[in-house]
Amino acid sequence: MNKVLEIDNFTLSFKIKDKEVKAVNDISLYVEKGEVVGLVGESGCGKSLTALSIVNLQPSNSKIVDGQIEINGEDVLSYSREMWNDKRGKDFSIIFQEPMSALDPLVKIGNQIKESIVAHADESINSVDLKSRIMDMLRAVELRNPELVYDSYPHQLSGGMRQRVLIALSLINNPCLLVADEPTTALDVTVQSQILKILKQMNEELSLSVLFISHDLGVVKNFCERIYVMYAGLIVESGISSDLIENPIHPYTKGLIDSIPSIKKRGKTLSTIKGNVPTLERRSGMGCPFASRCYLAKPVCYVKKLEEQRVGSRSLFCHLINLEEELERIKSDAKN
Amino acid sequence: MHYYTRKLLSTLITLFLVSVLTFSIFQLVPGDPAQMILGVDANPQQIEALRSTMDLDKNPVIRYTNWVLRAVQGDFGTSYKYQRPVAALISSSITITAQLAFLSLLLSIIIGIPVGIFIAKRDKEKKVIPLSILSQLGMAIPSFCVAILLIDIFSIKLKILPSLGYIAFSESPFGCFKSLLLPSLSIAFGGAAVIIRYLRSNIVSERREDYVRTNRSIGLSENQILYKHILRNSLIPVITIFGILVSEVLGGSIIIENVFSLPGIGKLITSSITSRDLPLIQALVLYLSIIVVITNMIVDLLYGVIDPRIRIKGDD
Repeated sequence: MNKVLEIDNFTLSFKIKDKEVKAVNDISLYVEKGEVVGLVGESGCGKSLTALSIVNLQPSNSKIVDGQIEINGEDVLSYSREMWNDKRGKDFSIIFQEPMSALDPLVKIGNQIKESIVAHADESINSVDLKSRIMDMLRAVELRNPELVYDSYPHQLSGGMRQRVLIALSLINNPCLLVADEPTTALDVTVQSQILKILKQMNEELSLSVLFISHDLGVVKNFCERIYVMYAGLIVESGISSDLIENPIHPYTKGLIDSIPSIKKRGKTLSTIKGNVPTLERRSGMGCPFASRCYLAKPVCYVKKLEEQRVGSRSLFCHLINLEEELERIKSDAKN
Repeated sequence: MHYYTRKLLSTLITLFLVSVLTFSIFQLVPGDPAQMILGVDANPQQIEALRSTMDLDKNPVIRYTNWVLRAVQGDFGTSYKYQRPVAALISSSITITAQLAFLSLLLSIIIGIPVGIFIAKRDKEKKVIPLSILSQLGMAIPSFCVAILLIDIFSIKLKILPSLGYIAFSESPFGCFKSLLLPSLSIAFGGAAVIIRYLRSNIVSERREDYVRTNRSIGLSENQILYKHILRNSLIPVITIFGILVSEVLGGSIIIENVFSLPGIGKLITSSITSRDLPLIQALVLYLSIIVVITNMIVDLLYGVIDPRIRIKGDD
């Protein structure tokens, strides 16, 4: 196995009113070379914090309490500030949810991309080579008029075009890992699928590994090979996409899948998961965080520490469901 | 309409309104100029005669038109007090005020921008608090108080800079600089304080913008981000302040020229007001307003140069 990204028992906390609250709680995940992995959950469950932590852009009032993040086998949490500046944008990149404000309004697109190349170049590159490299990248993200985009200011481009520019910006130095933090959430649906297509192309052509973060399981299911489902700072279930989508086991995953609209459910009321993700202050830190919204919940759920159950590529955090028995049951159901 | 044409047109309209306002205000000021010139002992026939030679008996609209038509040709009439053409009086003192204003603005920028950046960079550190307090004081203290303080330190105690008088640039450039340094510093203290506060708060808020996060994510260092991106974005609002600063500097120079006995426009204004020298006051007020209006126009044009969003919006 060749893991590009490996997060082990990572915990990130905030201090709120003298109380330490864990926003990301003991999560472990990995992305292999050339793999597209999804990290899914509702708003406020810690996905974006996880994404930001990978590139060391987590909020300055947060604190990494425990765990390890390795990229290409290097322990990145021990990096100095200079090391981070050297690696970010070169070995790994991130793209964000909001393309509208993510570019400097006063600098032309071409020059903004140029900066990223120059910042990581060992020797000076002449301006003709620089430009041709940027133009190639702008073409690769399927911008229709790259020459025009090169000389444009951000406000002259649409949201979809800006997100393409941001993808170009993040991939210009051929990183091996891209963290995509809800890159399509702010875009309309047709643009959304184009952006996904480009990311998929980049993944195949450059063997780029992608950690794709989304609140929308419908988007993730066709795009990612494996999926992690996150709830209130915890990964509750993970597995191969098709397997996880067809046979969800954790009540939370089931809830998420039931709330994806589809043609089959036409005319029926779309089911939702009752309640909201508890805010940081209201998390007890004990037991299963989903217990208060779970239809199966028993008293034990609120107090006992969760343990991981693992069968093959499937993993589950739940007190009440036995993963092995459940998988057996699914298998026999399929036979009948 | 094109951004620049539109700006030019609005400037011309403002200038017209300024001239109307200037003229009207001094029509309302109590006291008869003819009486003022001839003194209290003059007989009514004399006053009437002078009034008609001065056109004071004519309709205000006609007088305004005459005034503006002559003013456009550079003829602002004759000063009652000095008995010299107003234009000549102004041109002999404008150099001093222009030099003073220029030096004050320059010092405001030279002090304001680096200190603003310095404080913003160390926003959360305790050691910059005294500087922040000082900049707040700078905005609150009137310039003549600063002037008195500076005179006390540099002229009386250290004896290195003059507290009075003006040396012409043609006589001795260094002497000229020395004679203007304390007056300009007194004005620049407040100007720099304004720049510091605006720049600091702009930098601190720009730092939270999404594009800064993008810059970090591609591996730019904090200094690169500050000087190549944040600073430029933060300076846009400061340029607006610059227009206001020019009018403050001109206002400040009226008082400061009196404190340091500089024979500039400010000195001329005070003496013309105390002697009810109507043609001179009118011309001076118009003059200063024109400078302020034109600076603001330049600021607007600069705005378009630095911010592409404005330029292109205006082109539509």
